Amino acid sequence: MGMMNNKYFDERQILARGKGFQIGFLVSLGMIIADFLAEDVLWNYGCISINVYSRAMMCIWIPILVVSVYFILNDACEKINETGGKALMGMFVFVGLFEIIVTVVRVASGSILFVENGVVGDALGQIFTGAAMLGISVVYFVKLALNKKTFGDEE
Amino acid sequence: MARNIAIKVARAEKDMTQTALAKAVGVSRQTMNAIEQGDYNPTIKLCRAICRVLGKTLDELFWIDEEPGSSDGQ
Repeated sequence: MGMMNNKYFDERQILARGKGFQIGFLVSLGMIIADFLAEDVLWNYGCISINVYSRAMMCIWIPILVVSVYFILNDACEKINETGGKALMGMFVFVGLFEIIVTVVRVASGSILFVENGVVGDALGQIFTGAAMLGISVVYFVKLALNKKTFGDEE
Repeated sequence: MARNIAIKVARAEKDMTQTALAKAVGVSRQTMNAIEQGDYNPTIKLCRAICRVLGKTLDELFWIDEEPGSSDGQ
């Protein structure tokens, strides 16, 4: 106990992370089922369809978003004595914004089509990825600010 | 779970901040705060570590007095 230089998760964080991964696993299963249902049920009725890349990005990023937000809200995302969280989240903001802006500009300029022959293309997946990264980093920085406010007056 | 005021009092007696106590027992500040607020039930290992640092017994810091007709705080 009291290992100042080692980086590790404490017991409460380990429990929270276990619950977070459990939730993420169930969300992943749900996304796979939703993907099959959407493809087989909805699109057979002539609704607009989404291409494989965009569907894959949604199936990947929604569970990551849910798990990351759970970790952040339960203060279980950073190990004790770890300090690299801000840098990583800053990178997420940059990459997320870059992804969204570049995709929007390309769609607006006509170099790529958002919908082609009734199928939503890669643009949706790219925007979704950027939005997920932005969402995670926003939650992180808001929680950081709230923690500072809550724990700022040391007692 | 009810708030653990005994830890806060013992901490004040030792003139320790929550951060200092958390570092001494090897947990995060948020975890120590959760223990004091009654939001987290620590393991016996962590309870003993807190008692060791604060110089108190388990009963002094973690005993829950059950009143007749009330729940056990959970």
